[in-house]
Amino acid sequence: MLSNLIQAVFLGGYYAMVACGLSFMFSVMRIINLAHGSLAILSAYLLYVLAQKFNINPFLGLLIVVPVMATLGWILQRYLLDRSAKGGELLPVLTTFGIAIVLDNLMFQRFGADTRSLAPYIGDLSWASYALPGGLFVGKLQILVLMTVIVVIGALQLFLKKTQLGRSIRATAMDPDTAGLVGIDAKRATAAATAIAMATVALAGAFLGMRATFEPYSGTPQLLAAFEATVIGGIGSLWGTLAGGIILAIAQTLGASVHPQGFLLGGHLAFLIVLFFRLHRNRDAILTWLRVRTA
Amino acid sequence: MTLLAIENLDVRHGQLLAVKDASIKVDKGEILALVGANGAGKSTLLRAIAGAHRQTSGRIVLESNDISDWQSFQRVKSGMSLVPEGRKLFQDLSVEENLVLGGVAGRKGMWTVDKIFETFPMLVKRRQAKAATLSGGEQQAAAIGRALMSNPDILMLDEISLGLSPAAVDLVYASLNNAKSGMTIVLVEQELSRAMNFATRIVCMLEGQFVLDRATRDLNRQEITAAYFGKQRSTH
Amino acid sequence: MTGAFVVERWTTASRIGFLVIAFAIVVLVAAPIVLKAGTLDRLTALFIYVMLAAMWNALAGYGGLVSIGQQLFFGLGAYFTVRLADAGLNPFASTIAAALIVAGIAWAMSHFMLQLRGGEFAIGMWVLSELTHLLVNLDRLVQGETGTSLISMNVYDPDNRRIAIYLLAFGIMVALLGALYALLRSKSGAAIQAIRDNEVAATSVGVDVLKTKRILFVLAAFGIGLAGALWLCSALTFQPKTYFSVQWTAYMIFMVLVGGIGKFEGAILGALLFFTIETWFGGTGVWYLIGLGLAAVVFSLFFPKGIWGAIEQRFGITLLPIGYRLKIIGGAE
Repeated sequence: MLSNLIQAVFLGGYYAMVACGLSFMFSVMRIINLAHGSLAILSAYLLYVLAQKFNINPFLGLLIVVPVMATLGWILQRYLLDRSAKGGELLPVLTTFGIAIVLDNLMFQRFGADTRSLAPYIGDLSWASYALPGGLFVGKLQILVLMTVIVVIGALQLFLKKTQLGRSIRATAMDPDTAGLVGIDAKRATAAATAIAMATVALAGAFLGMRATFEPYSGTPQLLAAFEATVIGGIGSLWGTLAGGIILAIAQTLGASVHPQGFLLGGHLAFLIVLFFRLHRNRDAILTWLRVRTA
Repeated sequence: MTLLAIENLDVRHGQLLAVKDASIKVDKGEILALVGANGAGKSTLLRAIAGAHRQTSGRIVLESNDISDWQSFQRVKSGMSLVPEGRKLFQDLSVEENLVLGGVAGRKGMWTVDKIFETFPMLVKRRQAKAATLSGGEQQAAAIGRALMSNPDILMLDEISLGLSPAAVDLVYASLNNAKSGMTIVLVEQELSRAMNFATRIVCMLEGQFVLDRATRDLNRQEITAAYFGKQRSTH
Repeated sequence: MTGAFVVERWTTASRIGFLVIAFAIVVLVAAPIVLKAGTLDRLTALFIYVMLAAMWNALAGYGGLVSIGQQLFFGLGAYFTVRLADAGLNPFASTIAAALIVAGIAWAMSHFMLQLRGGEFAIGMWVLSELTHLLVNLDRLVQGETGTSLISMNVYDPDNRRIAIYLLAFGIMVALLGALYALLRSKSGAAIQAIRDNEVAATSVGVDVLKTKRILFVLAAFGIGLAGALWLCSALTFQPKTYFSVQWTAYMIFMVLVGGIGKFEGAILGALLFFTIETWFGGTGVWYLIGLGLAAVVFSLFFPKGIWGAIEQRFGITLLPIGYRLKIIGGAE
């Protein structure tokens, strides 16, 4: 059981890695990017092609894929999302869903239905593990993923807090009109934010490919897990997203121990329970506020 | 020397033509107060000059640049800064962060974060406080400070006394007096006596048009009040 | 400005529109006499597409609720039909009963799903759909992804069965469109349009936004549940994966976006277009799906009002009047 719990925490770290870009974009631009999962799969395929065709180790490959994805994010925001966000909060949902369909099927067209993995290209890292006292084993890759997500979230927080671009992004999120009056190029700020989110997506895709297998339509489960982790952790908080990812993974592990098909069920149920409680708490808060106001 | 020129500007607010065929020139070093009743188009005019509200027709020229089609952040870079109505500080950011962001345009000049705190001493102990927790007067001071951080050639202030206690307004104007040294200022002010004390030139708007435009020293209250309600038309 | 106004709902175009519709109904009811089996099946599919488009449009176009999880109701409609038929209910009666159950579930769900906003609602529905899919898989009758089929349909002669399903689908489509149309023209309809145009303003003039959204949410679930049940009647086999696929929502989005979101005629036009495209290009598989996705991107970015929106704007035509028009009589300005 303890061993399962430890595994769940590491799995949660991976979920947080997938989710932090989604969470970041949502808190900054109020856009839920439905192509998020598909973009992670795209990164995994890019790394796969680099490894298979050009013999580039996936870790080195990230030196290419991270900038490529960041550029893609910049373009995505500048030429598509900015435009659709002007039409209200619903249009970006439709635009990004369309992008997801296009990406999934283009990848299917190019790579076929076979499942791929990056595991063969990273030496013994995919299976090597450390022995802990008490007969427990922890995979090296798992530790790497968890460490990476902690570093990434910490770096993102520092960036938002300490740099002028980070402050500009936060200010734009709060009030884009005033941001412009202060001298902030709001479009540049949101494009930079999406570029950063996509850089984390590249990392997520890399880890997905190293940990497991993927195929062109693997984006959907990634998106849903990322979304669940984001909501469970509380929207707008990156450390919350990490906690959310871990809670999600623990719920899945518990579900799996109850029923053989309970893994995903457990996760979805945890998501709904958190959502339910949050909505109720909000409603009470609003009611109290109204009562105070009208009293 | 003309710093800012507005030529035949029309600005719409939904269906309403809020500013009608407005033309005016502002010289370097002038302190111009825009007065007029609510809905006369003063705020809309300022927002149009700052680029927050797009004009339907006409031109806005800053020094020799036609900035009519520039976005607001580009206008800040070229030396224009607006303190918007209602302060509009970034509520979740600290006072210091708000000020630092004011310098995002990267214009060099006398204004730095330290200099702002020197000019607005009431902000010093609120340095790390979130803007949302500030009092009205402190928020106004921070908003002016944020605008000054871009070292503007022309500073525009929209309704800075609105919602503040008279004592707080005194304080804000006192700080502003310290700060103005040679800067060109355009302000919208509802309170006539404040406008007349502070400004070198008074422009009165009525239904989107300029109905009075004269140096403060050549004006008396009655003339302004008359123009305010549209009883006479007079220009210099 | 001189002259006077009359408020009118009907224009010449809309009167002609109604005559055309009445004629089309008669023709389509009589169609089974002459049409081949394959054609009938395709037309049944078209009717189902129209239902899906109209229902997703009701939800997104009028209620402002963009859902990526409407396959939830499609799958559940089919599932309950199989379940009820297995328990001994007549398969045709099962479709209606199943849709009613789906509507009941949607009503319960609405109490907390409708508190979610924008993208959260969209993807929250998707999660709910995945959850339901997993739960349905647990049913012994369904046997996981193996699925099951609507065996009790086999008592009917295939030709008669085909015609019965065709007529049932047609009848349900007309009834659903009629119900939606009546709803939009009723007092709640004014509220619905107010919400579509500006939710905050609607609240401030006293529109009960939540109640109105709930009506649309339940109606959409009911209609899509019926569509799923009818699809099952026609296809006979129930594999959870096919019915709970997000592809169904992708189709709905395509139809409504291209046709014209928030336009009653737009959804129908979108369904007709989708049906045509599917008939011609459906065989190209992946490229066909890429095309659909691309159309969703392009329309959401550049033509958010869809084709019908453009037609309406350009020519001022309304075939099925929902709002009122101000007509100026006498001299204008």
